[in-house]
Formats: sequence, C-alpha cells, structure tokens
Amino acid sequence: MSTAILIENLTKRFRDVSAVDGLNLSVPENSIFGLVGPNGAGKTTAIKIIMNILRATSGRAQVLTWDSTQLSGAAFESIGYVSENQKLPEWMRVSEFLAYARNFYPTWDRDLEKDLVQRFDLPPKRQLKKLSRGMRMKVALASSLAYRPRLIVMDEPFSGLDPVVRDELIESISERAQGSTVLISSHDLAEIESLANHIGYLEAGRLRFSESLSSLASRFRQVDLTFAAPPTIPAQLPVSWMRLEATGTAVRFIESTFDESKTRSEITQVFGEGSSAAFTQMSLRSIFLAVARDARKHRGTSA
Amino acid sequence: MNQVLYILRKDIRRQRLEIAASLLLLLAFAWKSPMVWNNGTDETSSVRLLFGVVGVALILSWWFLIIRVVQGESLVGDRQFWLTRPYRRHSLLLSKVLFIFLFVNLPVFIFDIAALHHAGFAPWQHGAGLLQGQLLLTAFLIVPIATISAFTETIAQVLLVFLGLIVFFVGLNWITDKIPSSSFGSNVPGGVVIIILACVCVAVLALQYFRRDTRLSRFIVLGSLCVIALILIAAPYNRLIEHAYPKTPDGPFTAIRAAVQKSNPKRREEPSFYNNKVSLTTAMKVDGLADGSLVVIDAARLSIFASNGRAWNTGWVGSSRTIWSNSSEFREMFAVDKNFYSSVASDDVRLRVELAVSQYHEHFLGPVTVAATDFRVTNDGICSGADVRVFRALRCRAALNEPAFTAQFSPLDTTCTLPDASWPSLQVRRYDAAVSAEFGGGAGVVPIHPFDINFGEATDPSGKKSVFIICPGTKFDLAKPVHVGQYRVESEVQAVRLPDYLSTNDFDE
Repeated sequence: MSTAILIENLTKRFRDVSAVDGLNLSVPENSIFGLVGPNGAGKTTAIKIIMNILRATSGRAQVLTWDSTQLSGAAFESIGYVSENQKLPEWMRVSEFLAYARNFYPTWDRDLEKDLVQRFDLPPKRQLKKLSRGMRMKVALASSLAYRPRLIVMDEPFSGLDPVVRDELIESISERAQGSTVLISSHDLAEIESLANHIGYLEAGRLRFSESLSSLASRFRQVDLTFAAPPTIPAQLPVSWMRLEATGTAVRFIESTFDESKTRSEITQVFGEGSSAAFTQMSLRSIFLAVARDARKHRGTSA
Repeated sequence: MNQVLYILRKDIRRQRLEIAASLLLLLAFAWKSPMVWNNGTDETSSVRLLFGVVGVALILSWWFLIIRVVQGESLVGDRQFWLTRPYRRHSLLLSKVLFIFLFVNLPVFIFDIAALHHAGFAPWQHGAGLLQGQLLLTAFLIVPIATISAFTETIAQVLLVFLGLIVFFVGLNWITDKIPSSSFGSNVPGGVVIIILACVCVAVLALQYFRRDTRLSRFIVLGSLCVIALILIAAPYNRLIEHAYPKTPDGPFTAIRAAVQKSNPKRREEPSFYNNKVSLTTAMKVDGLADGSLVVIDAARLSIFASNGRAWNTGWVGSSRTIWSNSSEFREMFAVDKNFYSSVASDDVRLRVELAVSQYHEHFLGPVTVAATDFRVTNDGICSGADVRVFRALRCRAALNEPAFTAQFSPLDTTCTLPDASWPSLQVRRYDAAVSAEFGGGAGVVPIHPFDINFGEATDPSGKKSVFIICPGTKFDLAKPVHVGQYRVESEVQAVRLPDYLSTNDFDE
C-alpha cells in the first residue's frame, strides 16, 4: 500500500520542551487515519509541521509527492486543511468566502459546493464572524472538500461541537472522503472510532502504535480470570499484559497481542491450571485509556 | 497574475470604506493645498489648522490602509487560513504592492500633477521630480510601516513597535546630542543608518513573505537598532568632518583665507549662562574669494588653549552662512562650556577658529524682470509681483524641490519711485536660496514649495525711513550655484581674554 504521508524521525522542540520527539508515522493512501492521543501529546504540532506551518527541529515529512518544507502554493490545490483554531477572514460572508476560495482551485466543483452548502445548511449571506463555532467549522470543511483534495488533514475538527453537528460532519467526511486520504486528529475517541480505519496513538511526542482499526480491535482484549482460591501474582508477567488487577479470586488484565490459544497458554504458564477465562472485545476508548494509563504507570516507575 | 487580482479584489472589497475615506481626505487636502504656496493669506486660522489636521489624517489613513492590507493575510502566527491555501507568495506580495500603489501612490501622483498644473507648472516637464516624489513617499511613508506590519499581527502591535522606535530614536538623539560634532558630522553615519534601515526593510519583507520567519525578522530589526545605536554613538565625527573638508582644497579654484579678529577689551560684565553654556562671538575677516564665487560656511569649530595647558573646543557646529565675493567680514557665535570659561576667564588664551566651507561658482542664468503678475525665475520657479508691497518680498513657488539659486540686484536699477536716488544704502544686494540643497530640498506631501526673494528695503541716512525697491519692471540677475569643492580654513589669535568675546546678547547675533 502506498503512503500519502510519511514521517521520519520528526522532532520539534520549543526551547527545552520536545512537543514531537522522533516521530515515525506512515499514513496509507485512501485511508481515514485517526491520530489520537491525550492533550499535549504533540498531535497539533505534528500536523502543523506536515502542513509546513511550523518548521521541524529535525527529521522530515513527505506529504503526497512533496517534502513538507516545500508545501506551498500549487501543492495546496490537492490538500485540504481544517483546524479547530484556524482564523478565517471573518469579515466575509459565507458565499463570499466560498467564491473567493473557488478562485484558487482549478478542480473546484460548483455542484459539490452547492451540495455542501445545502447539506450543512450554511447561511450564504451571513458573515463568518456571526456564525457559531460549529457553523464556522462547516464552512471551513465545505471550502476544503469542494475541490476534492487528494489529502484532507483535520486537526481536532469536532472539538467543542454539539453532537448533532459532530454527526453531520462525520457523515460528510465519510461520504466525501472516497478517493481521498484523511488524517484526522482528535482526543474524542468515539468519533474517531466511527470514522477512522487506521489509528495512530501519540503520547508525549512519541508514537505508541499505528495500525488499522481492525487489527487494533483484534489484538486488544480485556481478560477476566476466575480462580477457586486467591491466586499468587508473580513478579514477572508477559510484556503484552497491561494493567493487571487482582481482587480476591478474580484477576483482570488487558492483553495487547491477543491470540486465544497463545493467551490461554500464557495464562496457564503464569497461574497454572484451574482458572476460567473470559475474553471481552474492547472499544477504542477502553484501549486508549488502558494504553495511556499503562504509559503513565511506566513513566511513574521509571521516574 | 489571476491570484494577484483575486487577492487585490478581496482587499479592495474589505477596505472599501477606508479607501473612500482616504481618497476623501486627499481631495480635501488637495482642495485647500494652494494655501501652501499662497502662504494661507486668504484663509482663516481655523481653516489653516484644519488643513494641517487633514494632512496628518491623510498620512494616518495611508498607514491604516497599509497596515490592514498587509495584516489581511497576516505573516505572523500559525492559525491563518491562507497558509494552507494555494497562495503563491510572490502573488500575495505583488497584490499588496499593487493595492498600495493604487490607493496611496497613484492618488498622490494624480494630486501632484493637478497641483503642478494648478500652480502654473507643466507637469510633463517634471517627470523626474514626480518620480523622485513617489520614491520619497514610498521610502519614508510606505515601506517602513509595511515592514512593521509584516512582523506584527495587529494594529495595536504596530503602534507598540512604532512607539518603541520613537522612544529609541529620541533617546539615541538625546545621547548623540552630547557627543561633540555629532549634530553636523552625522552625514556619513546618518547615510549608513539609512542604508541599514533600507536593507532591514527589504530583508524583513522578503523573509516574511517568502519564509515567514517572524523570529528571525524581529531579531534582525532589534539587531539593526543595536548596530545603529553603536554607529551613531561611536562614529568618529571629527575625523569624518576633517576627511570631508580637507585642509588643502582639491580643485581648480582659489580657496578663501580667513582671519579671526582680535576683540577690543570690553567693559567687564558678568556673563549670562544658559544651559551651563556662555555665548562668545568672534569676528572673522575673509578674503581671496574671486568674483562670481561664493562660499557657504557649513560648520565652525572654536578651540581655546589656556596658558596652563588646558584646552577645550566646541566641536563642529553647523552654520550655513553665505559669504559673497564682495563681503569681507562676518561674526560667528559659539557656546562655550561654563566651567571651562570660568576657569580661564581671567587668563590669556589662544583662540583657534576653524571653518568647514563649501565653495560655489555662480553660473549666470540671465536677467529677470519683475512682472505685475506671475513670472518665471528659474526653470522650476514662478514668482508673483502682485503683492510685493504687502509682503515686502517676491513671493515665489517652486515645483517639487526648492530651487538652488543666487540673485543679485542693484537698487539703482529699481523702477520703484525713490525719494532720493543717492540714498547711501542703495548698494548691490545679494540673495541666495537653498544653495546647498543638493537633493530634494524641502520635498514634502505638497509638491509645490513656497519661497521668497528678498532684497530688503532702502533706508534713508537716518535709518528711520525705508522704501521698498522691487516693483514691476525692476530687473535682477539670477545665477545657479555650482559646487566646486569643500575644505576647511583656520585662523588663530594669541593672548586674548575670553570676556572680550562675550556676545552682547547671549544666543542672539
């Protein structure tokens, strides 16, 4: 599978703070890639470097056929960018803004523009500064979808939006993204789960994992063990087990490389025979929380 | 090119009200601008005041337009929508340049042409001057504010930077004022400063528009201010002046000789001090100036050597006094440090006066006859003989730059009615205007510059009665001063006492 975005050893330091620290990431072409991570993980910084808004301290990023530092002018004819904190020309009316943006794109589709305006219920005569946050985000999205970009990059597009607007946006992105690559950053995992087919998890400027959502869903399981008597928890556990908790005769942990026969065999090796095991599929949110807490625990231990 | 027009059209639409306001201000300014060359004599003081206010408001409106158009696509920060749109940077820059040209340069250009035409000049004969006016407007009123707007995000930030620069330059001026010779000798350092500022403006605009490196831009601005401060404070002013005015003149002309005159002992009075200075006046005698030449004393320096080995000098002080071939004496006034004066006032001292002079040869242009209405005096000047009796001078106007010329008049040629043609004060009168103006002397927002030609009046032997001596039909000669060289001359006088040189009225000649 070819890649739309390839990031290699990307580092961005602000004075002594590393916002992005040796990031390696590959976004497959035609995928909807969710870049998730807690606040301050470096998602926005990484995206701004990809979009050539910020300069990296070291490392590089390849965006479609361009080195990210060369992204400007005509390159943006095939890239759309929507961000929660983007400053639009607020004095313009919606129709003026779309008409103005139209001038810059040879592939602008007037019918698609009309369709988006209708779908998003945008008021053409209203000034952007008089629109709600959600409406403004819709305008930004409409102006970024109407020219059918090959790559759409969205930085926290759903942040602070009401559920109805969020659903509308998600639906539109899903529909319109066919034939495009979408990179979308968010800490709102429920939306990402319903939209993305690939996930990258960023924490403290580093990529913890990056894979397809189906692979992620298949390799994470919550494992519940029940014993006849309280078991002894050994000091050494398999590295793929996360957040092990024991309460009386019950033990619960997260298996991060789930394969039923392999997991069962490891359980027997650790606890011996005599336990009953239940494997529960996890939501993205549960996986994210487990990974984040595990990382925090490890940082606490190493500190 | 299309992008340039799209961005331009967007900016025009955004600023249509501001553009209209600016053009209206220019119209109002243009409507009353003839008062500049008519000296506002037909206008009430409130109209004159309003005219000044409109002039200031006009410049502010240009600045507002420039700031808004540059910051319309802000080059600072990382949240602007245009950063991730297919803007070509050179198109963006070109659209901003075009906007400023259309709504600042072009209206001023049209106003200049209209004003020239209204003042009686043929605009097409002043193409170079009009271009120079546009260059000055761009260099001093447009580029600096565009540069500041390029590395700031809001109008408030521009104001803050502007205020900071004012404080910086006022403070720097306050410091350099205390450096001897700095007021006159700042031509070279001042030129270097202007070159630095021009380079900084170009560098910052290029950096911001093509690399958007605000940190580096701000660093360059701050760094250049430090370099400017260093240059103006550490410049070897005396050496620069002495290099510009060598002791031995270089050129095929005869240099003047100057001799400082010994002052007769005066009745000893307590000197009056002002700002810890006391004013001394030295009488100078000059000779050696050939007919058809004149000398402008650009600066003078007084050095005082006391018998106890102490010495002090005033540093080079600007003068701008014209010496004609038929004049032989003049007085030069110096401000001397109070403490030094007091410490050597009762001793014999040696005085040395040095003069930095520019010598000119007068190129005769021809006779001019005063007319009752408008008449031409140089290629660029028009005078009026209509109100000579009211103003006691010929009121003239020049196109774009104040013209440099000299005029000579023999009152015996007057066509005015004199009570008695043998009045002793009827001797040849000389007049010079902006002799040393080399580049754009007096250039400003209004392209017409008023100036007077004043030969004075004739007075009777008692000095009580005076008669005006320029009337319609009177002729005078006009010459163009051609710079032939510059040098310095010096003269000393031994064993004199400073109190004998006290100015009669301190700081008045």
